[in-house]
Amino acid sequence: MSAPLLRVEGLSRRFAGLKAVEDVSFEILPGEITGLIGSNGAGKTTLVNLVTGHLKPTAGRVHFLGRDVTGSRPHRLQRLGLLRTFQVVQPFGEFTARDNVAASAFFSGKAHDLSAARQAAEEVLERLGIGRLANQLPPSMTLANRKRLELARAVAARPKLLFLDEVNAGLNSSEIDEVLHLLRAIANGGVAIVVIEHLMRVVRGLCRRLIVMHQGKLIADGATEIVAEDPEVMSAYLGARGAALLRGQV
Amino acid sequence: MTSLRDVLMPGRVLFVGGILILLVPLIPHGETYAMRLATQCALLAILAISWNLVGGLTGYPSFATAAFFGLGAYVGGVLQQMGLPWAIALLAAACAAALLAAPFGFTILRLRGHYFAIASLMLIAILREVTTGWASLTGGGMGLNVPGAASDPETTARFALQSMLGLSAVALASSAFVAKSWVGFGLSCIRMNETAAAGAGIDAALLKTLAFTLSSGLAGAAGAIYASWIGYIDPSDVYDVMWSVRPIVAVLIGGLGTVFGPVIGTLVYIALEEVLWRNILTFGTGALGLLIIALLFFLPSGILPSLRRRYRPA
Repeated sequence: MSAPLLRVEGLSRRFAGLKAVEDVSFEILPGEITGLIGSNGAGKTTLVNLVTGHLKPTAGRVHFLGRDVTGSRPHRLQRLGLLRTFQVVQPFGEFTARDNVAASAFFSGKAHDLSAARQAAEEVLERLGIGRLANQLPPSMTLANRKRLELARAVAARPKLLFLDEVNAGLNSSEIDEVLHLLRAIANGGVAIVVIEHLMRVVRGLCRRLIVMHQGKLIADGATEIVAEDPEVMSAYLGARGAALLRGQV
Repeated sequence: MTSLRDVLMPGRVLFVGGILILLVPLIPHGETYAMRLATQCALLAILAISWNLVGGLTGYPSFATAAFFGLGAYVGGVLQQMGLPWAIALLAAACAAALLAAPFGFTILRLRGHYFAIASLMLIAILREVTTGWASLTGGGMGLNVPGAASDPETTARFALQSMLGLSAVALASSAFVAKSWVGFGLSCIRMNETAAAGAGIDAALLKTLAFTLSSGLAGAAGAIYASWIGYIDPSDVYDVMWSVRPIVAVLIGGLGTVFGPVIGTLVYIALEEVLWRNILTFGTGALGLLIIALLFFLPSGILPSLRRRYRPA
């Protein structure tokens, strides 16, 4: 077994009295695609914010590539190879798609100057199937293409671990299939991916491992087919009555 | 792609600035009005270029220009009164402003929008109080007499104009350099979306502080030249909030975030100010205000971007 890429130990975050994330521990191995699921308000996004430096934990440690990166700021983690995308796409609105991607290629230190970064950007856009949109501004692109642009920005920084926060939200069924295809291709390039998702269809199709959160706590972590059938997970998703009903019917 | 034009631009700006400086001795004797106007123009241009680095390129609406201008005026004035050479006083003024700007900027650049604007505005009040209170050094409310560069007013005025022209060329060249370099690229990213900037690996706190420090150093140097040009400064003059407001108006007229917009805006602003002040003596400032509002309404992105949009090849 290879050494874990990411190790999270006892991570907690309180907002005043509310325990948004409580004592969460897990590991991510290189190259694996993991699903992070849970109902609304379970603490998924807060957990991602804590791991990627957008929030500081009240307790616990985060280790990435064997070093303690607890509380490191997002741009530092980005340069180390720990990246995330946001639920709501965050483009540079006045930059072309090319410059959007070039920014992360350059500032992540993966290109030595801006023109090399722009060249790298074009290659990444091409690879993600939006090469023809290189000169377009994000506001004039469709949501599906803006999501691809978001992925392109992440890929251009050559991440080792990528957290994707609801990358499929707002997409239709065929667009989701295209994104899944892209994600598999990115993972095949050696990038570990954690997918934060609502849609069980996406998670089952993509992830061999699931981490489940409920009310700030991690309630299950294991192989997808086992975790998805777990009674506790089902009751967290459907409510105790719904889960019992479902079990009764099966 | 970084074109050759972008690389050569700062050099060209310095060259033109040098030519202008060499032309100053050719201005006929006794043209005090023209000299004063030209010096005012160059001064406002420096402050506008300086403000544009933070307010235009980075998107943080700072009102601190007057604070660093005033600090530079006092540091330059006090040092010259102590007998230090003019050039040393000027350099010290720029350094003092930059040294204060770095930690102050690092702190308040965490704030955004209105909150940042108000925090930056406070620095003027703080420095004015300190300057007034420290009377043993600054002369307090009585003001400070600053020895000029020369004994006769005409030579002093010429020298002040040359210095202002030189500094505005330096300011414009550095602004052109920053705008076209990766620093400007990063600052634009910060302006558009700071969350995305961090996600792209940009150290936003560092870049913003860098821009703020450079901007403040320029304002401080301008203050020092102003002090030795005018010959007498007091806190209510050099810490006047209008030193913050006029550059902003000039940039908004010329084109926010553009390299040459601040210069064009300055020329238009000074021209309007002069024409109105001469013709409507009793309501000059009021008319200027109305005209500025009208300009901002009809050219909301400023003169330079509006022209570019109009004449851009289809």
